[in-house]
Amino acid sequence: MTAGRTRGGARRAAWLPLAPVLTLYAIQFVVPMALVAVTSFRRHESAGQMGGFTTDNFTKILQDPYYLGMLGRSLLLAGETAVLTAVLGYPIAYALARGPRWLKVVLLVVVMVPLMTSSVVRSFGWMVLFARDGLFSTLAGPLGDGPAGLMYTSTGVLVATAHVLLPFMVLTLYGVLDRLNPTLVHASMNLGASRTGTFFRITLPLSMNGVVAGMLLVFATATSAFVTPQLIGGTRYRVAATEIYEQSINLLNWPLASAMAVLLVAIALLTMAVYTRLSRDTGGSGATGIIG
Amino acid sequence: MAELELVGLSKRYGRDLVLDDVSLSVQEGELVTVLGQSGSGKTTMLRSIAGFVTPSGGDILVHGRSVLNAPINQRGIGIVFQNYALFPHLTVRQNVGYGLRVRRLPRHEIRERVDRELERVLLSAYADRKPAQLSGGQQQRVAVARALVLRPRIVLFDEPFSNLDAMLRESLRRELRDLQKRLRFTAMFVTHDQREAMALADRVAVMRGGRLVQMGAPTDVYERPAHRAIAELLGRANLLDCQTAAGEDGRALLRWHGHTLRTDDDLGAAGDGACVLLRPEHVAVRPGAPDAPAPNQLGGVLSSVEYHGPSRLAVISEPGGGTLLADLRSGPADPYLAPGDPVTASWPSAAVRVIDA
Repeated sequence: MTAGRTRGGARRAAWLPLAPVLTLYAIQFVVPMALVAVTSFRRHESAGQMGGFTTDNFTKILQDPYYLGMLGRSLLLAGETAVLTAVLGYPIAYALARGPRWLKVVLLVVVMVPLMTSSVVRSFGWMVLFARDGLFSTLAGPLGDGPAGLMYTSTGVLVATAHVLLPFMVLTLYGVLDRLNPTLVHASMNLGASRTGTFFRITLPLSMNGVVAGMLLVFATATSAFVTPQLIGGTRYRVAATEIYEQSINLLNWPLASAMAVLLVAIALLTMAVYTRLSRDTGGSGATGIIG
Repeated sequence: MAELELVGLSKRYGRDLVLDDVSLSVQEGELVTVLGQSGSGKTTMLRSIAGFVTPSGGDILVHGRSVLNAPINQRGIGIVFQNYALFPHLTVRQNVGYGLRVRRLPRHEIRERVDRELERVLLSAYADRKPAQLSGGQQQRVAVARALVLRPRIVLFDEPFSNLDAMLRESLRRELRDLQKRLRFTAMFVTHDQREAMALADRVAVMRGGRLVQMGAPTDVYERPAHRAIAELLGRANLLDCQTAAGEDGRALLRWHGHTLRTDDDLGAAGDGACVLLRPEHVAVRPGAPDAPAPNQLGGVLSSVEYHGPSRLAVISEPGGGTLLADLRSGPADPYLAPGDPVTASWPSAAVRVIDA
């Protein structure tokens, strides 16, 4: 009994340092989310006015092609962003893990700087490039017919979102690739495989869990991307996050906005559950440390 | 013609000369061990032969042809790595079959050859396991099978036993020796363990500070080391700094702390001083002080005895301040020797080897 109590006491003591951050999480995250969840089941009477409980908000979203398309567009954007960051991020992470030191420094700065810049600033940067008479269309002008502005297009939003989320992908992949035993590459080549063959037979399969982890991380983050779609997509390219903003701030339809938010969070949680499951099955991947 | 030949091989990393003008040749079917401490350049040499390292100078010849310009995957030289470097996502069978699959051999042939190879290393029952599910010794066997299944003429071994315990090392060593003689491949085996180096080798190449300092049969290198550092690298050694003196019969004598040493070696080249190697196992010890002074004998006090089972290592202090190691074979009725006892050490003149200081 005594021993059991002592051990229980020790366990309590170990939890103690976590108390502040857990409290903060409770106040900042759990309580507001609970409020949003409750609100999502209220009836929208008029702007800013809520009535009794109902499931109408969810049926509306899931039956109205307008809202469904919004969600679909969000998921599509997130999926495309995940694929694009994987394709762009893999070579960068590979060079970070295997390249000479000067290249590591250069790449690390290039990849990390966007993380340290406000997303508003970054998006304005893209806006300058994407604008109808911006750099891109000026350069592309002589090639195609007329200025090809990327503003308010899905491609524009995709490129800008991928730029924002690329660091997460690169860091996740870097963690996996850096821990890959470089002797395996030598062993493979010694056994007769070419460089390319070695990459596809050894390096890629062994870093696949990093690719999947990075894509899930980017996917989950991209579904809730707001600033970039808002600034670059504007009103012509609406995604779920910008629609939630529109509904809650401009139209004061809080229940509908909440229901959409709940759906988005559910998708994100589901993605993270799959991710956790995968990284546990593969004995953990480099991303676990980053995601925490 | 030599199967493998290194000609003036050098490797420089910045200002460090890691490999310094190494020339050696390995005959067909020969097993050469490369002995050296870490930093001696032995691994760099091996990696240069495999093609992982580009030498700064010199040449590597296989059957008289330079392979310096051949890429790693076309050298046809097998290698077994220190940490085995098995592919963790592939099964034992897939690991062993990797080189055959890369060569796009027909499926049934791959299966046949892999099965035969797994049988040879006694791992047929483990074919479908992943490397992480095997013991260190089993992983080591997979690594050997993976290299040998391609039937390379030359196989390099980079300290393949260094992560295994002593008993397992010994049995794997015998297995490897057996396999090498049976399959008749040419082997170069890098190690820092002098027992392993001598037990396996047809010839031992001793490396020190990036240079090849001696190469010869294990007995030659052990009995006739070219340098005192080599003598110490190969096992326990009494290295005695002696003065030379003229003997009454005209033959040269060696003097060490007032004791006289006779040697069968030619002292002609030695000047005023000479370094003498006296292996501890050649020194006999009996209790009690000597009756009368004689050559190749000294009286002293036992300062410690270490019991090793088959033998005992005695440290003898002689009155002049010198110490002498004696490795005594254990017998069923050994006289009891305790620290502090007076003892007499003696040795035959054939055991007194004059080496270059």
